[in-house]
Amino acid sequence: MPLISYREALNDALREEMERDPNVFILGEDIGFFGGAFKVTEGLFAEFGEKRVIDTPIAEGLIVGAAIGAAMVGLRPIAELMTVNFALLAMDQIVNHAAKIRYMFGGKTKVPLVVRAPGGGGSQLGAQHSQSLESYFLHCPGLKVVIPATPEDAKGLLKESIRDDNPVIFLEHEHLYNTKGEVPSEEYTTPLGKASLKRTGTDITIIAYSNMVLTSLEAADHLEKEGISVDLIDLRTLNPLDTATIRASVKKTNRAIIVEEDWKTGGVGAEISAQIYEHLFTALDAPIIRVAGKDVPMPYAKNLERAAIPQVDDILQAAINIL
Amino acid sequence: MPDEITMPKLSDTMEEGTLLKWFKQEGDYVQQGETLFEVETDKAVMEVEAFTSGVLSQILVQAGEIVPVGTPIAIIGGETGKVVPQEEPLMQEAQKAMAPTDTSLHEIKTPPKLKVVPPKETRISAGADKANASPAARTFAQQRGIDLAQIEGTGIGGMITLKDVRNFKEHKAVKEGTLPLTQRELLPTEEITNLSKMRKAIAATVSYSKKNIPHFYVSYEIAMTNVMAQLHELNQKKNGTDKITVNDVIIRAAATTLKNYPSLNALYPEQGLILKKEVNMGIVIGLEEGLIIPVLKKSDTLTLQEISHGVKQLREKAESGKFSADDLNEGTFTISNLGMLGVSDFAAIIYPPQTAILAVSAIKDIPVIKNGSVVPTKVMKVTLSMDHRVVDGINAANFLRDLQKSLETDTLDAMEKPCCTVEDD
Repeated sequence: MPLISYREALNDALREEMERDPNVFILGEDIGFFGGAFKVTEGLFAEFGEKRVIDTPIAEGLIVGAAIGAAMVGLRPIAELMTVNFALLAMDQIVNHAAKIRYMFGGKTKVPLVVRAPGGGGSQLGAQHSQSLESYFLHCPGLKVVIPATPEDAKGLLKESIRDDNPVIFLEHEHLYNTKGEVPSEEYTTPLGKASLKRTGTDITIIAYSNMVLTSLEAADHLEKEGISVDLIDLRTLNPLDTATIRASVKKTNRAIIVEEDWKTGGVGAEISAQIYEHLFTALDAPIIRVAGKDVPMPYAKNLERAAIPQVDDILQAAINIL
Repeated sequence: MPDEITMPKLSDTMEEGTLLKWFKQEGDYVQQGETLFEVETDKAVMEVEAFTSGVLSQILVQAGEIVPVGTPIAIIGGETGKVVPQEEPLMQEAQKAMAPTDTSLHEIKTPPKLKVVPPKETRISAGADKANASPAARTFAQQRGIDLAQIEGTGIGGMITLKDVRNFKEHKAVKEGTLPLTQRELLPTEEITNLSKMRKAIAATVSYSKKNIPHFYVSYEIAMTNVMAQLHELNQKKNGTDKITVNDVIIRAAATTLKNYPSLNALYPEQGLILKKEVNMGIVIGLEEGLIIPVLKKSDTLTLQEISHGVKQLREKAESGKFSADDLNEGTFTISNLGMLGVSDFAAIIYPPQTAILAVSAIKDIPVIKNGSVVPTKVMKVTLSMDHRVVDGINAANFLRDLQKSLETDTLDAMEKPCCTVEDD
C-alpha cells in the first residue's frame, strides 16, 4: 500500500468523490486558487473549476448556510471552515438549521452536508486558534461527528461522510496533516460508528481519538515494555459512538483511561465515562481516569501550552494510578 | 406491540437490582401472572410476575448481571431475536416522523404495574455493603460468597480490587483448607460446619501429598487360603486370648519383604532420598472424626506375637486418644487396611515424606482355575501407591511378588521367630 500523508489522503478523498458524483462540490475561504490554508484542496480548483470549488467571502455563517441550502435541493456540499475556531461564527447554521431540518420537516428533506474543519493546539497559535471543540458538536443531536487519526481513516471516513445523507462535522487535527500512513490504492470507504483497535491487551483500556491516538500509541509502547498490556481504542467517530467495542474492552480489562485534547469539563471523556459508569459499573475495578486538556484558554508560551495538552507522561502517570 | 420489561423498583431505597434467575427462556410463551424472573435488591430476593402475556422475544439482561432500576431487561411480544439497529438514529427518527399518524397521543399506554411477590429471604449482610471495594471486586466476591470484610485492599485509597479478592480466594483455599464462608444465609436444607482440627490436618496433608507427589499404583492379588487356615488353627489353640489377626500377618510379611526394597522403606523430603534400615510400620486407624497413623517401631525385628501385641496397644491408645508424640513419629512405610469393611479394591494417598503406602482390601472367596480345575480360593487384593520420583514399576512389581510369596508360602510358625535384626554399620 502506498505511504501518503493525512493531507494527501483527504485531497484524494475529495477528488475521488467529486469525480464519482457531479453533485459533490466544495466551498470555503481560500480553498480555490490558493489551495486552502492547510493545502487540503490543492489542485482541485484547476481540475474541477470555479463552479465546483468555490472561494467564499470571510463569512462562516454564509458558508454553512449556503451549503445547507444546496444540500436541501439535492447537491452534496463540503464546506471547509479554515479552522474549527471559526465554526463558532456558524454555530447557528450548524445547530439550529443543519442538525434540525430533517427532523422538523418530518423527514421530507435531508441535509447531506459535510463541514470540514481543522483544530487542536500545540503550534503556539494562541487561545483563540488552538481549540478542540468536538464536544460542542457531540452535544447536539442530529449531527454526526467524525474525527480520524490516520491517513487511511481520514480518506475512508471522508468518503463515507460525503455519501451520508445527514450533516457530518468532520474534524481534522492540524498536527496530523503531515503524518504519513499506508492507504489502500483501491476504492474503499470506512463506516461511521466503528472504532478501531490499535493495540490489544488485557490490563488497561485506553480510549482516544484524533491526535491523542498517536500520543496514546507512544504511551502504550512504553507500558508494553513494563509488562502492562493495553487495549487502545481509536474511536474514529464520536457520534455514532461504538459502544460495543468500548463495552467489550472494559469488560476484559476492568479499567479505562480516556485521552482527549479538549477541555476536561463537559468534554468527550465526561460523556464516555458516564456511559461506562451507567452500563458497565460492575465491571470496573478502579475509577475511570480522564487525561484531558487543562481547563484554561490555551496559553501561548510553549512550556505552558505543552502543560495544557495531554502528553505521553500524563498517560503513563494515569496508568500507574489506575493499576 | 412489544412490551418492554424494566428492572422494577421493589423498595423505596432500591437503585439497582441483581437479576438472579430467569424462569423462562427466549421464545417461551409467558402467561400474565406467571413468575418470570427473580431479583435481588439491597434488602431481599423477590420473584416478579409477568404483567402481560406473550412470547418472551428477547432477554436483554442475563442472570447474574446487576442493572439500575428502569433498565430494560426483556421484551415480551414482537419478533424473536430481532435487535433494533442503532447505527442510523437520524434515519429512524425521520422515518418515524414520516409514518402515517396512527399513533395518536391517546393510544400511548401507561406502563402496567408490576405485581411483586413478598420477600422470602434476606441475603446481603451489612458488612459487605460497607466494605471499600471496587464494583468489579464486589460483584466477583458476591457471586462466590466471599466476605469482603476479611480482605485488605491494595487499590486507590485502600480500595479492595478484583486482584485482592482473587488472591484472597486462592490463599484461603490453599492455607486453611476450609469451606469457603458463604455470604448468603443458608437455605433450610443446608448446614455449614467448621472442620475439626484433625480434619484440617488431614486435609492439609492429603492436599500436599496429591499436589506434590506424582503417585502411581500397582495392584496384586494374593491367595490367602493357606494363611487363613493356619490362623484359624493357631487362634483355636490360643483359646480366645491374644488372638492373631490377618492384619498382624500382613504387617509381619510386609515388614520382612521391605528389608529387600530400601527405596520403598524410605523418606523423600526432596533434598535427597533417606533410606531407613529399620521398618517403622505406620498403621492407619480410622476414628469417628478422621484417622490417625500410629507407628509400630522396628516391626521388622518383632515376632508375629509381638506385632499383634504392639498393634493392640496402639489401637487402645487410639481409642482413648492417649498417644505420645513418639507413637506417631518416625514411620517409614504405611499400611491402610479396609478389608474388614468388605472393600474389594482401593488405592491410598502416600503419607509424606514416605515413598509408598500399601492399601489392603477384603479377602474374598473366588473360584480360581488351578491346573485346569476350579479351586475355591480366598483372594485378597493389595494396591501399592508409590512416589514415581524415587520408585519405578519394577520395584513395585518385585516387592508385591515377594509379599505374595511370603503370604502364600511362609508358615506362621516361622513368623513366630524374629525375622531379622538391624545390622550395625
